[in-house]
Amino acid sequence: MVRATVFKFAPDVDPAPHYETFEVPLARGMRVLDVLEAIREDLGQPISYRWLCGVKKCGLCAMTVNGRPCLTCWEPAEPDMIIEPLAGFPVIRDLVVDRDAVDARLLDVDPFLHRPEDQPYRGFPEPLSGAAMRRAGTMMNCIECLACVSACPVPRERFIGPAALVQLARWAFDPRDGADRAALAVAGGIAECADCGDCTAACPAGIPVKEIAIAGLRELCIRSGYPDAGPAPQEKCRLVVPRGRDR
Amino acid sequence: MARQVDADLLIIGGGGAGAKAAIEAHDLGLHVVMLVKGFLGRSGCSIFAGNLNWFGPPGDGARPRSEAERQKQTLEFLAKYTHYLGDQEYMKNAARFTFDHFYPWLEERGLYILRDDDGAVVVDLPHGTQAWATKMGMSGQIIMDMMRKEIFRRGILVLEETAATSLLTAGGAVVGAAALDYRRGEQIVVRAKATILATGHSNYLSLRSTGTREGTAAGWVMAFRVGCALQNIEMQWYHVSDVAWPRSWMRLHLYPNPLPGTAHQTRLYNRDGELFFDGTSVPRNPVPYIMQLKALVQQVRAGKARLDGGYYTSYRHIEPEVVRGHIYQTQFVEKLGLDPLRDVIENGVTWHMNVGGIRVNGQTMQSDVPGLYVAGSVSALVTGGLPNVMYDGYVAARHAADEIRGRPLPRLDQSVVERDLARVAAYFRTDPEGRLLPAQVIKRIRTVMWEHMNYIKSDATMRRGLERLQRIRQEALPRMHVGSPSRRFSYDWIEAVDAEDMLDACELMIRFSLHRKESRGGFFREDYPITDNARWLRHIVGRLENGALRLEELPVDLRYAKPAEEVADFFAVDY
Ligand SMILES: Cc1cc2nc3c(=O)[nH]c(=O)nc-3n(C[C@H](O)[C@H](O)[C@H](O)COP(=O)(O)OP(=O)(O)OC[C@H]3O[C@@H](n4cnc5c(N)ncnc54)[C@H](O)[C@@H]3O)c2cc1C
Repeated sequence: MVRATVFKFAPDVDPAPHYETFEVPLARGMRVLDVLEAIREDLGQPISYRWLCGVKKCGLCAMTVNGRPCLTCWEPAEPDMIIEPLAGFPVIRDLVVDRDAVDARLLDVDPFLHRPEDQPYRGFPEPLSGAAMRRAGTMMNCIECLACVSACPVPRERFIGPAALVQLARWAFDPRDGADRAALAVAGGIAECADCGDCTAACPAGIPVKEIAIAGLRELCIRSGYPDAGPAPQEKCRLVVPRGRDR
Repeated sequence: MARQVDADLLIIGGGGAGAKAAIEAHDLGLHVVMLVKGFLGRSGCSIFAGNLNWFGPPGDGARPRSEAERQKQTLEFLAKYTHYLGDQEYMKNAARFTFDHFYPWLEERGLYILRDDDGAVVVDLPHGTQAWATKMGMSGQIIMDMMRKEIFRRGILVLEETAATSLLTAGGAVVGAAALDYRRGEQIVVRAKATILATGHSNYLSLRSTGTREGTAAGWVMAFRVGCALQNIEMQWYHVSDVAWPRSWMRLHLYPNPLPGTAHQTRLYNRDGELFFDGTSVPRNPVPYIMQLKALVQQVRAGKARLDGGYYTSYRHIEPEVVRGHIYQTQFVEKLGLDPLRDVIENGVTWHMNVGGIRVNGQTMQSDVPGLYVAGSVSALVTGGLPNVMYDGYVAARHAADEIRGRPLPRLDQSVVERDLARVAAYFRTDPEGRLLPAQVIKRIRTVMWEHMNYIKSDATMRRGLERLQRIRQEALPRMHVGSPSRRFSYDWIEAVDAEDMLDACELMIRFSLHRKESRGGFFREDYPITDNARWLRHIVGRLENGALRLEELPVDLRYAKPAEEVADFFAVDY
């Protein structure tokens, strides 16, 4: 059996959040998401949660499981679980959070290819090598599930966050792009990154967020003449304020 | 009272078809509003598209191919892919669009089609029929992420987590839609000069299916209710190579198709470890899916596999660089603690795509009802294929723009609006007798479809299925309740609406299936195991007349490709 203790809260009708515990039979290879589905479909117990694809593509089923951000279609069910909404986001109802503010930041990094004027597109397929696209290709595995944003300890007011930086890196690493991506990284507060690596640990797509996305952007910033974007991990640790859940 | 929003053009659905239509229409100067049941570009099946049809391009240095040859190959592929029921003129135009527009439009905006280190596009060997965006399995996700951002960049109004619940008519034309924003718990009325319906496949109707939870056939049913014809909806395309477990991963295709950068394809083994399918062993076979299904039926009949498991996909014979470097799916295998280079992965059949859908004009995407265009896999034109659905969206937007330019907003018929809003509002009830969550009812419906309308079926099983669905309608629908008085993110509420739509769709589908007395491609009847081109190479078309379904048969477009045989043993033909 799987025992799942689930956070429940409908802010318009419930006086306060509470937890309910459910038991469902453990199925073969069961994911956390499968447990939630079984609670509704087999036990007839209502819980609100968001999911669409079930195979790590829509990026919408991230929640906090046993204290850690995870994509629930990806991670296996454990015998005893506490399932809560993705930490650091306002709760709409039960396990559903409001992603809008963070989703908007993903657009702040100008996530579009800007070809230099003297290198216009000349038709498909354009000259491009796999080797030159390798780093950008790794960034394209990002499904914007925001698990990294939930894991990131740096306050959001000063820092655009790891997911947006991965999106920025995707274009910065693309040899076809001519936009000033370093300026966007600096404006997004890349210097605030604490270099803790919690983003990499949380990423269900296995993207080395700290090691490749952020480090690569920092290199670019330095090359582009923004010396203060580089890492200073020891100093940064002091700046990190442990953030409670905004619910 | 419902909130009212006005638009030149309403687009229902945020997959490839809806997204492409929105961009095109906006760029033509229309005020566009989108209703998306899930999230724009993150819902529906478009994110699943793994392979992109390639067949070219003509004059590619590595594999020279003439325009005529490419056209011929594409048509042969698509004709067999649709079991010869596809509209061939449409397929020809869509194939041309794939080259002239789909690839260049996306690549210009930054799409990365996988290249090798020398810059050649990575294709399957030796024919070069497919291409991939970064990896096999990722193409649709990446393309739809681009589309999502292109739409937001344009400032198009997108109402996400908002499902259309009915098409609104006035004076015999569609003038918009009623919708439920289930995130906010609010009903909405959208009034528009024209509407494009792009709600995707109806592929959440069976217990094992590849569709996402929005694939509840709302598009078919909404269109049918306002007078559109449905065509060939009995032609359900099942898929053999989907993982048997865990449950949420059943939409993970372990494609039988050509793979990137190799001449090998995956292999299937039965319960006893005997090889029973390898796409490369079927000569000149453009549709491994269908051949796989036929092979599986024979294994099931021999007791060597089940539809829900007991057979396995293997990547063992494929080059490790391909398995590790180019295939998204294998990380899932590893996550289960298996080694894709050594172990096999258990599979089960899924209810996958629909060959049929809403009948439309293949040149304009117009339906039979004025004001309503239909694009993408919800129509009877498209079986699958992200490039094709984008073609539909593109064409629908252009024709709609031509039609409505300069026209005033239509008047709503308030009695129709009130009736539709009231129907949906009535599902928000917390205390009926013997309460059932809508999710429980939906599971019952899907179970009936799995048990009685699976790939192997007959008159007897289907009639039994129909009876069980009727019982659900009588006994379970009235007991549905929403699990909480909160209207915020009440997925229960929209699922209650879905349950009724699903029942309508499933019953229609069984009636169409009982009518087709043959077996063809994705449609197999044990009681009629022949492919009968002489009698049944016909569209089955049904519409609502005086409150009842009226079925008729209409001719099929065979202008470019036709099957050689009049009547054949179902297992002997490759379509
Ligand atoms: C598992 C799988 C693998 C596939 N592999 C490939 C492949 O390799 N290559 C390929 O080319 N094609 C593939 N296809 C097929 C292809 O992805 C689809 O046919 C195509 O992308 C469908 O596009 P669409 O826009 O018609 O619908 P979808 O992408 O399904 O979009 C439908 C949209 O409508 C919305 N919607 C539904 N109901 C409502 C409502 N009532 N109100 C408002 N919105 C609504 C949904 O939320 C969604 O946004 C695959 C499909 C699946 C399921």
